[in-house]
Amino acid sequence: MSGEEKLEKRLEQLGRAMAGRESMAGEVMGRIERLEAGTASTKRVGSHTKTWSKIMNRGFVKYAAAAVIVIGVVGLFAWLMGGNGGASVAWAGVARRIKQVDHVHFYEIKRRASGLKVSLEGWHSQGKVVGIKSDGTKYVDDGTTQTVYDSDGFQIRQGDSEFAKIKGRTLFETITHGLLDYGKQEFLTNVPSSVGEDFLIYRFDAPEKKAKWVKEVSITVGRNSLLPVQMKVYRKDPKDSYDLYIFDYTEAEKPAEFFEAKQRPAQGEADVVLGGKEVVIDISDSPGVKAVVIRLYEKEFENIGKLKVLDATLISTEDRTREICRGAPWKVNKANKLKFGPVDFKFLVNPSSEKDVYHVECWCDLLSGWQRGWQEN
Amino acid sequence: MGAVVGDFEVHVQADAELVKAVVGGERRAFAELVRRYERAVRGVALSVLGDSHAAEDVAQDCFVIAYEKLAELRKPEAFGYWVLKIARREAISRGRLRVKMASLEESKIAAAQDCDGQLDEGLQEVLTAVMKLPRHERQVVMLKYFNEQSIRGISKMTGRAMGTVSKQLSRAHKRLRGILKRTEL
Repeated sequence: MSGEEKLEKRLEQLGRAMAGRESMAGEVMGRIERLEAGTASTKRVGSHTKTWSKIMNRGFVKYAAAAVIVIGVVGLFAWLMGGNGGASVAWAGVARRIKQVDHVHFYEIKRRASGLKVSLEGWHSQGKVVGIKSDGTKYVDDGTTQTVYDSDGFQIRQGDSEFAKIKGRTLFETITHGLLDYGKQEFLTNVPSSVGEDFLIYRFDAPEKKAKWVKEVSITVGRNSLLPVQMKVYRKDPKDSYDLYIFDYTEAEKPAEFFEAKQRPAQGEADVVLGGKEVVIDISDSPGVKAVVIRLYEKEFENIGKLKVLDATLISTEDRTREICRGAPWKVNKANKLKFGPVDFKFLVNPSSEKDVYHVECWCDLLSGWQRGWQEN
Repeated sequence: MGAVVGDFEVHVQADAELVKAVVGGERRAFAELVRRYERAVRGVALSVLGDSHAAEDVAQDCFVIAYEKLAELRKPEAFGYWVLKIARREAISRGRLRVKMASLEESKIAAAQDCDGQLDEGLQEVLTAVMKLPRHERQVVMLKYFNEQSIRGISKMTGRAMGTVSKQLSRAHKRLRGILKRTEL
């Protein structure tokens, strides 16, 4: 058999080894469906990045856009009080008043082929935005920094504010990402397409930047209150899907601390030397656990290189031990989450002023069935 | 124009068409992209992790991520490279390594009883060699041998001319023989 034939045979064998399972398409599509319904678990390792991505790519921008539209319309209310009842109110007036309104509460709902799904609930106040998804993930954007927390209040991501990304633009322009761009004349001159006894309805063609997936945007505004009651973003989808935003002005304003980025207090913390000895950290605040033994060091991985890694062993209140990870890579200044069976272990590692000394903060939650698998000390 | 299968001509949508359909709201089109690249994605993950169970998890995560970020893909025709890149990044990520490392001790025990999570040494070498190919060649090799696609089918999927696919496959074979020359093929 020639070398070419042997190679062909080995490649075919490899292909069969790869194909030895059922297609994962069903499972993947199921996960996507659950994710879009907002029910996907954020407990999976690494899924915080996906949740964040989803918020940023789909939910946040649109709900924030809705918030600012509300802001504008509320401002417009005062401006129009002496007018003709709104029939000839151009959208420019809405945009001009946007910055004058503060507190807004709203919901985002998505209509897809699989049904209607509540995606998130959001609040806007004093230039800050808080959004909570149905899985409990919360994000806070203060105009400078955006911070995301999981449902346990653990910080899983921090980055630049979405508002601050596009410099030199108004808040409205920034968070709508061109969906209803203030500078677009075709939007500014829009007047209501429908004027009823109670409502004004504005309709917009999709802006150029969103033309790929948006067909039309419709905003319904109360004629007397001049507050929008809903915004619908119709998608270019044969299934007639859309994103619906419902605005609610009766919700009591949230206290200022609600809009503050606040990390859940650590259960234990200590300075640990990279490559040094094990350090015992008291985490007796965590039910069932007394302490965690941490060791930080560097390890060489094939095809990857050298990474900073961690060993961690829990000590229960009954002095039994359980190794929860060995050689687990971690990142500085980033949320590190480990899920080992029924143990949910989270830690932050920040550099200290001393070389190779890191300040470690940790949290530990024991889930159902955690009593199994511990070793006698 | 479609690919010829037996006496029938079957329409094979290009990756770019499927991507556009998904972005346009046709979510089901994504399932076809998953079916098309799942073996290649699994192979990439397996080459990094060395464990097919972990690779399966990474592959699923990879496709979910790809779905979420699909609208950001500037060149829809580059879906193949892009999803394999995501797979590699995901496989390397801290979480997957952690799973592997954390369960290392348990794996040693389990491996004695359950060896279906590992490729045999010879195939692992071939897989590693495939991963060392330039991305164009790696993609055609994976589509041909992992997905059992014809040159015509690969041409349709990737939007490349059949001659180009043939040449890339031929170069890939030559390169693979070179990489594997120290092993007994």
